Amino acid sequence: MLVVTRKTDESLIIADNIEVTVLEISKDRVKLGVSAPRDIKIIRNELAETQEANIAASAAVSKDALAALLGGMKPINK
Amino acid sequence: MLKLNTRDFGEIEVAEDKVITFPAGLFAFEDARRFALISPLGDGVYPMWLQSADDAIPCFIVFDPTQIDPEYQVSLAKTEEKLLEIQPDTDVIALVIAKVPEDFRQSTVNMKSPIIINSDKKIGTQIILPNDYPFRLPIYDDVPQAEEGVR
Repeated sequence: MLVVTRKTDESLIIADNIEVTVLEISKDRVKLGVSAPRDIKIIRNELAETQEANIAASAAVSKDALAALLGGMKPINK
Repeated sequence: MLKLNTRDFGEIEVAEDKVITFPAGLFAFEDARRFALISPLGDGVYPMWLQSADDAIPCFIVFDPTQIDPEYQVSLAKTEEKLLEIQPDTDVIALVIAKVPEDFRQSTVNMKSPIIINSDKKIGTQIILPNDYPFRLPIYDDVPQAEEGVR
């Protein structure tokens, strides 16, 4: 992973046409601005992970796993 | 009654009042707007099945997050409260989606992105919490099973 230190209002350029600018820095969050061509999809990683998790969760469940769930297997408390 | 073509139970009938509307769908399934919450293990017993009312897929096996983590906290953004038409006295439930692999003991739930339902108005949406909750929390005994023949 490339690690770069930036200050407020400084930016990075990716592949000539994507610019990521640090707009604001506070205690535990950074506000970023991204300028990119319209066809570049930009989403938060949590959203991508949630989409992936949903797709994986919606896949077919095996007969054995289904039988175990319906047999009343209780989740353990964390 | 409403006839459903389900992923896991073939064709079943559910009462119309089991149908929940998701105005924004779910992440990666934005077009799925109507789901039925099915309780094959009995009323109020988890897991339940959140089954698309219009097709066999998507279908999600869901748990009550507070049964997995009694400290579980959900906070809604103003826009989410508005979408769900939540009033101060609205009955709201949270569900978490399980991924159930071939070996169900390795099942995990997504604590980061719960489904929130206004039980009074039967409106639901999926949210992503700002809290540091895991996307894949194991829910069953995660001690590996002894291999066959090994004592």
